[in-house]
Amino acid sequence: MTRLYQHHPLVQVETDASGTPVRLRLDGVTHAEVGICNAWRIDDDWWREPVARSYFKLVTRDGLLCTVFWDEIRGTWHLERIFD
Amino acid sequence: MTRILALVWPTLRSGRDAPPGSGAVDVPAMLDRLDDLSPRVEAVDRGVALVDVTGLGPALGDTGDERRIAARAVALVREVAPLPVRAGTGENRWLAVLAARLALAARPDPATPAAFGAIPAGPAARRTLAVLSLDLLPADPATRGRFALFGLTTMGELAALPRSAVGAQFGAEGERLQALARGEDPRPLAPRRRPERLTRRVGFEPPMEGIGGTALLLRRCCAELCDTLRARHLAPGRATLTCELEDAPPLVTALAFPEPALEPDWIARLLLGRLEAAARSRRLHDPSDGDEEPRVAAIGLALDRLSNPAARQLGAFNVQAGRWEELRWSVERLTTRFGPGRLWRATTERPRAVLPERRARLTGLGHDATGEEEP
Repeated sequence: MTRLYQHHPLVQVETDASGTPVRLRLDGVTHAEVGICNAWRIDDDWWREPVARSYFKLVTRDGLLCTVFWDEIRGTWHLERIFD
Repeated sequence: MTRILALVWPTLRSGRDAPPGSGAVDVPAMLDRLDDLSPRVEAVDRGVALVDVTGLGPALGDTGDERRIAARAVALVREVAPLPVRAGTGENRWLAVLAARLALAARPDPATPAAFGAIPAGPAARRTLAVLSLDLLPADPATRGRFALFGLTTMGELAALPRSAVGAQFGAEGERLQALARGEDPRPLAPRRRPERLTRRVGFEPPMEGIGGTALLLRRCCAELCDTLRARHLAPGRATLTCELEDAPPLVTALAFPEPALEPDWIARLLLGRLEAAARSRRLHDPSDGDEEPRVAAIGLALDRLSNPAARQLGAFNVQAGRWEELRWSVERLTTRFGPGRLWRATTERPRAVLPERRARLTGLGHDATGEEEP
């Protein structure tokens, strides 16, 4: 069971020089040691309302597994999904 | 000797509604009133009812003739809806309906119905029919045309022909019409079964503020009726709640169960939820009522469609439909239990969409479907 957020709340993410997340702050808790499980890009709807996102599936030391993305058009990080 | 009384309401048959101001016509209630006259009542069609009045003459006094029996029947149904009606009596259902159709509008006696006709029993019936036009027979236009080709214009001419000759020329339909022209109709009266209905009404003096305040009494009414039914191994298939308001038309809500239910708590909660929604909707459409809580003068609860739940048999070919009904019932109960905005229905729209939030659409169940979505 996963929790999918339709409205994608904002999250604070620190990245390294290459743009890969290294630290995540969620619900007031900072998760410092972040491992990248997977990463992919989505470019869609370029003909009406363009969507350009860089997705990262992250796992933290305390067991949080989630999906966040970098909205390249707005320049913001968002939380998309939390896995149980 | 059987005597059948036919009542025909021309306005109901033509599809015209009741006179202005009288509201919708409650045909079942009219038939229920006829049950007071005779236990054998058949609703043939919308606008036609048959009553077996055999032997009812003495019951209405020494002077009780068919005209008075018909007057009594018309008076009973007019207590429910004052519609124009024609009454007729005959030896069988065909003759009774024909007599009603031919009824003259003369009113020699105020105690008689507005229009009454009678076709006597025995050979006299055939003599009465003999002079009538063949157009009165329930025949299709092609058969009428063929009757005309053979020079047949009255029922007497058709009745006088040998049955075998009519069968040879007009087939089985011709034989049936000839039997009617002779005043013969083998179709028996099929009395309707009066549906049982348990009711309970509680009045409030002074009226109670708000519909929610009636919950406790409604729950008690439900429990009492359910206990009565449980003792008889019966369960209702539908519940109807009527809320009489002090200064507004009554609110009525009905709840049909997918299967017979004997759960007073749930019945009361679901009925109340629907009634409150109806009250909100009325305030929304009629802002003149303001935001004041309605004042409840009485509540009435009715349980009907009674059946034995142990003897319930599922249909062999509509299992899926039954499951959907049960699912709808379960969802409604869950929505009531957990409140609005907690239950969602997911509909797959674009399963191959790249963005996950576009693959499915979530619709809230309940009254206020807003808030965070969950898959």
